[in-house]
Parts: sequence; C-alpha cells; structure tokens
Amino acid sequence: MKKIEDILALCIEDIKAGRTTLEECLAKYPDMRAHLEPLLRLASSIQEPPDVKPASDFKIRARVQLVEYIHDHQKEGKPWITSIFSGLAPSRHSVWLKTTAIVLTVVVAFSALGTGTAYAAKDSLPGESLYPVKKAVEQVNRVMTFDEDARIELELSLAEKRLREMEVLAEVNPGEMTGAVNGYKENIDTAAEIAERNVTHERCCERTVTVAQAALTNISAIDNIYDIVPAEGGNSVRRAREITLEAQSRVLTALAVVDPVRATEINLETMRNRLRRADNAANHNDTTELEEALSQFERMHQFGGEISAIAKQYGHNTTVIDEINAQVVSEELEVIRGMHGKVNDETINSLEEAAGKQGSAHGKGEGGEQQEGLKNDGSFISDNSSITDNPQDESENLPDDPGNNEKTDGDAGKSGDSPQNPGGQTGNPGGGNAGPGSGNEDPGEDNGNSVNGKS
Amino acid sequence: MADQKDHETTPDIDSLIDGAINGKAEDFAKLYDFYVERIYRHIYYRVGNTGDTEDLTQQVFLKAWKAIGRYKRTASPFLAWLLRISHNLVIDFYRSRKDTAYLENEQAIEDRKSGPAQLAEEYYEQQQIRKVIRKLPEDQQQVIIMSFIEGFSYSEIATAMGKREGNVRVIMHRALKKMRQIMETEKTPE
Repeated sequence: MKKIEDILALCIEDIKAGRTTLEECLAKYPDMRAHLEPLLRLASSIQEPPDVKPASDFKIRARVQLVEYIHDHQKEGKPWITSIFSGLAPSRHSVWLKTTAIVLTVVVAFSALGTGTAYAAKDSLPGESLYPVKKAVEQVNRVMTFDEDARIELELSLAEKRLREMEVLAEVNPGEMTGAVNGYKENIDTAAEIAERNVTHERCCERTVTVAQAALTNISAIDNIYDIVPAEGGNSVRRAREITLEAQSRVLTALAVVDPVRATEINLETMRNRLRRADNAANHNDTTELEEALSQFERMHQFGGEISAIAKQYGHNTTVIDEINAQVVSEELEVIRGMHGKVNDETINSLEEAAGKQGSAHGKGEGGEQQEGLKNDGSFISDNSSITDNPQDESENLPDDPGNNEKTDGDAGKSGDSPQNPGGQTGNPGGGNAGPGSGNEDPGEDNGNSVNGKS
Repeated sequence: MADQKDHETTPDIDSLIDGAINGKAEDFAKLYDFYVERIYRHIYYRVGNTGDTEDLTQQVFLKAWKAIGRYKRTASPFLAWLLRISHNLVIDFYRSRKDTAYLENEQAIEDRKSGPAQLAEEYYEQQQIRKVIRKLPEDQQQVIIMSFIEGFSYSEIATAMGKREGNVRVIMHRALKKMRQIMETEKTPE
C-alpha cells in the first residue's frame, strides 16, 4: 500500500499536469479522502504570484555592478584568467575587458528596454527609476575615455551635472540628495586623482589648475544650493562642500611641488571665497554657516603655510608665497571688522573665537614663545594671554624630508630659514610667520580678545 | 518550468556556463540575464519586499560567480544550483534578522505600494498563503516554492536540495499539513 505522502505527491503532480482533477483523485483513494481533501485543496490554491518581476533599472544596475565586480577582481589575478590571456599585458587587457563588458552590458540592457530609454533617462534624478540608466551611460563614457586630459574634463563635467541634480533635488526631493553627492564625490575625486597622479608630467600644472579652479567654481555653486535646500538636505550639501575643498587641497598640494606660487594664488582665491561666504552669512545672521565658512578659511590659511613649506622643501623661493599668505590675513581682518554690528552676540563670540585662532595659529613669533591677537586696526599683537593658544606647527604636515625638518621645526613659515632666502625676507615684516603687523596693543581691552570695530 | 528546462538543455546555455567557468564575464552576464527574473521571483516570494529581494538577488549572482568553478552540470541544472544558493542566502537573511515582525511590516507596506487600489479577493488570498508559507520551516518553504511557484519536479527538487525524492515528498506532506494548521490557528479568534 502506498504511503500517504506518495499519494499526495502523485495527486498534486497529476492535477498540476491536468491529467486528473481533484475530485477524481479523491474518488480514487476514498479511505484517505478526509486527510487528502484539505491538503489537495490547499495545494491547488497555491498559485504563482502575479507580476513579481525585478524593475528594469535594478536589472541594469545589478548587471553593471556584477560585471564591474568580476573585472575588478580579475585584475587581482586569477589562475584561469592569466592562463587564457597570458599573451596580453594584464593592465591593458583588464581595461579593455572591463570596457567591453560594460559596453556590452549597457547595449544589452538598452536593447531590452527600448531605444528611447537612454534619452528619457538623461534628465532623471537620483531616486527615479531611470537614474541608473543615466549613470550606466555615463559609466560607458568614463571607461572609454583613455586620454587623461579628456577624462579630467569628463569627470569635471559629470561633477557639474551632479551639482545641477542637487540643485533640482534641493527643491523637489531633498531626501534623495545623498545619491547625487555620492556621485559628485566619485567624479571630483577621480578628476583630482588623475591630476595629482604624476606631478612631474608636463601637463601636471594645467591639470591641477583645471581641477582646482573647477573646485572653486563648484564651491560657489554648492553655496547657492545650500541657500535653497531645506534642513533635511543641508548635511548632504555641506558634505559636498567638504568633498570639494578636500579635492582642491589634494591637487594644490601636487601643484605646490612644481608651481607653489600658482597653488598659493588659487588657495588665496578660495580663502577669499570663504570670507565672502562668511560675510554673506553674517548679513543673514546665519551663525552655523558663518562658523563653517570661517573654519574653512582657517584650514585653508593653514594650508597656505603647508604650501610654503612644500615650496621650501623643493627649493622654491617662498618670498612671494609668504607675501600672499600675509595679504590674505589682512583681508580677513577687514571682513571681520565689516561684520561687526551685523550679527548677534552669539555670532560675535564665534567670530572672536575664530579670529583668535587665526591670531594664535599664524601670528606666532620667533621660537613660538609669543602669543598674538588682533588689534583694533586688524594687525596681530603679541603677549595677549586671553587669546586661545592654538599653535599649528605647519611643519608637522610636511611631506617627509628629513633634511628639511630641522629648518622648519616650530615655525613653517618662519623667515630666514630657507636656503633660498637667507636674509629672512619673507614678506612678514612683523616677525610672525603670516601676520601682517607686529603691534603690541592688547586687543581685549574693549571688546573681548579678537575683534573690534574699525578704529 | 518546461520553458526553462528547454532553455537549459540548449547548447547556448551550456556554452555560456562553460565560458563562465573559464572566466568569461560576458558569458556569466548572459546567464544573469537569463535567470535573474526567476531568482528574483523566488527570493521575493520568500522575503516579501523589493529592497531585500534586490540585495539578495545580487548576492546570489555574486556568490554564483565566485563558486562557478565548482559547479558540476551533471549534478543539477544550473537554475537549481542558483536556487540552492538563493535558499542558503535567504536562510542567512532570516538568521540575521531575528525580528520577523519587520518582514511582516515590510510586506504590508510593499503590498500597499505595488498592489492595485482594489485588491481582488483572490489576490488577497494569495497574499495570505504567501505569509503562511514564510512561516514554514526552511526546508518546507523550499519544497513548496520550488514545486508550486518554480514548477520543479520532485526529482529536481531532490537534486537541488541534496535529498532523496522520497524525503521531498515527506517534506511536501508535512508542509501542507503545517500550512493548514497555521491557517486554522490564525482563523481562530483569540
């Protein structure tokens, strides 16, 4: 006698295949009817779910990622791949293999989706179903662009595209901003990476300058987006700005090795940009944005010192560089004086703190013994015990150069240490490494420790 | 299943599998094109929401690529092999998410999103059945889904699960009894 599970299985198969009906099956096994009937009825009620299909954009995205994953890992070297393609240089082979695979992927995907899809996708935004198609098309362009100058141009143009997406998302869907920012990071970082890759390349300077200036333009664009984005997208926009500043610092560091004056000039432009932003934020009583702009300014000011130190390390005359760095502190003080009276007490405090840091970071005297603050006229003064001492020994950030460490120890921008400038003429007449003045008046006598109105 | 089996025995699929085993990404990508919907549907039936289904589907093909060198065509059809990988990943998925209420919630949200405004009664019943299936022990779920949703024969299910055909029938019997029991329990007012 057959077991119940065998009879059940047989009935199910026969019913599914249309060879019998439920009633016929039950009639065939009357002794088991009570047990079989509910199970067969239940089995008959289980149907294939309707319309459960993966979305087209998911299929494309997953396919592209799968192929990329495979080729990325093939580059690491697998026995079978090296044996098959042993006649080809690995790097060249992997590039072509990856390119071909991705192109095929997108072509196949578009064939499946229809020819209008790519066109329809071009204005799509992160979070929309066609956005992965847009990214896949871009990816094909990226992997097929072999010339490094052209690739930098492409990456910068794609970064701009991401910014335009952010601008639209800021108004229509700020919750999806992260996708655009991630894409932006990939594009700007790739451009920076190519530009900084080989500082001895004959086109190094042009490449780094191109990326650094694009970054500067992007920072302004990001500021504009920040001004319109609601709170939920604010962090993403701020992140995009930080990404841009970091990318710019990287390429300027590379540029500093071969043309430190140009690097300093671009850094100066970015610092001025941040000062204007701080001024604008002060006009709108936006404390958060004001503090952030000043903090960015401060970082770039310190970075100016690093450029100077790199210049020394590579045997450049730093006189012009130090003059530029000194000039910008003067401009900063002018702006801060202008802000006074426009903002509330809380903002004033943050301004004072920021300016105090500037004073102590860049106005440190010979040997680092003196502390300095800001005078009413905007110049740095020394012996101000109320100013936060935040000595930033810029030499700590220098690239390794044991032969130079001793010279820069304690004061990266210090005059007279450079072999190119034995007389100590660094454009820093006050004796500090960046401060434009050398007064000794206590800045705290009438308005805290750093900022005063115009005297 | 008939269509799938026909395709699986065609030289194209066999040569694609050979190519993939030999490291040809393009061939593996074509296998992906061919099987992705089946795998997706299988996983969706078991996890019940689009996000996790997409993640797991991608993982299935990544795992398959990594393990393709160990695939033996004579042991089981390629789809059955992929489904076995899917099955293991779904088990891992459930183990990593001990909060099963999460799945229920996701399912409810997904249904509201993707379903028509007026759900037909039949469709509603199918949803209830899917929920009941997901409450079954893992091997019972696998047998029910492979048999009723994927259309595999008992011998194919046995191969894919590494069990004897007789065992699969026993599991099927237990699964249907268990489903009935769950449905009766849920019908009973508390």
